Amino acid sequence: MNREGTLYKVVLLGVLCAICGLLLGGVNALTAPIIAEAAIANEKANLEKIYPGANFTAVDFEDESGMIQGVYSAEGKGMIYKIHGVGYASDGFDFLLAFNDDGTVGGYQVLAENETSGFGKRCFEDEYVSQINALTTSDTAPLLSGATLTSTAVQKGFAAAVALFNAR
Amino acid sequence: MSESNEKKRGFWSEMIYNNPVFGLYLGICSTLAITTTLNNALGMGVAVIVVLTISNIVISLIAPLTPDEIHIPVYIVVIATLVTLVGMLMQAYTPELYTTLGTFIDLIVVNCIILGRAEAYACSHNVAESARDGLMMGLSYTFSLLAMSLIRQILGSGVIELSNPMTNQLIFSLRLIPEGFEIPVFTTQTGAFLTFAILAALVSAYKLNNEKKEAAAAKAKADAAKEAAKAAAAAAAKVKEAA
Repeated sequence: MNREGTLYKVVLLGVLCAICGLLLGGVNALTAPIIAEAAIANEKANLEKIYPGANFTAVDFEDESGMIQGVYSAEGKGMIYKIHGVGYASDGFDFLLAFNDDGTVGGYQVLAENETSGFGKRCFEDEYVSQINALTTSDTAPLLSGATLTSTAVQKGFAAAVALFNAR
Repeated sequence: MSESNEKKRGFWSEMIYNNPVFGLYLGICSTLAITTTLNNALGMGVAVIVVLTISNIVISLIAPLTPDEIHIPVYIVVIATLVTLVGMLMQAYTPELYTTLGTFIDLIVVNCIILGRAEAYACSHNVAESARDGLMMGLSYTFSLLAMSLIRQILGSGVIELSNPMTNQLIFSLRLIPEGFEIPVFTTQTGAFLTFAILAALVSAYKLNNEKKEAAAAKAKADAAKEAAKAAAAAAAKVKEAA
């Protein structure tokens, strides 16, 4: 074939791209499961607190609220949502919220927070936690007077998780 | 500089003379950005060595087949593929390192060293020479990163430490400057530019000095040769006279 012809150049680039694409596809098939597992590894200790011994996989999601940080499915048990809310402290707080497959709340677990003791912090104490644990996906999370900002953030996060749970 | 000079100078001088960062001023962006810790420097260095060596090999193989008009796209496809492969492997096996190096792994694609060596060397040399060039360039890039990160980490945080990128376990950690006496500016970009400028000045001073010495040595040699020639001529004349 004529080296200077357009056809030669097109074929050369095409073949090269095809080889590179195949190579990338192969390595991706090899590394994708490891990467997915590593993504869960950081969260696994926390996820285990809600569904001990379950088989977790990270789930792709599209969240309109911007509060959902991660979605994990516990095989045969339910879904766990990692949620970031901003209450009184501007750094916000992180919590896990789980829904069992039947739509009841499977767990509510705070991961990191810096809310005011006696006010915002009440959103992560036993009384409020047991209220959340008694809910289902058709409810909205209750507000706490004196902890309005923090409980509003929890309520919004709860709604965002419900929206994703229903959209499954 | 001439090829013969390069050979005479040996491994370490080649590291300094052909140093892509301080000698040729290539790939400075990533150097400034990631040299905050020894771990980052080593990780980035190894990634660049792998990409540079393999890309030099591949490009020296396909260069004879490539028409001039499309050589840049061809080289970029090869380099981008290699970088993506290295990135995927790092994300899978050294996730912590991948997170800290972040975009700079992907940016190896546009690191001038890689395309620079492909253009300047690999496309016109054979496979073995190109592989050696890639390895040497990668090594000297890594040495530059190590020098920068050692200075910045020690002065900036007072601690020198290294951890296993696979498991993120600390291998060793040594405090050289007592707490409260570190100079945190060295962990910032300002510190990066300062360190870079000082090292580049040192390398340049060494080169100037060395070149003077080499020139002096060459002159002395030439003079000696001239003297010898003169002496020989004189001797020959004497012999002729005697005859």
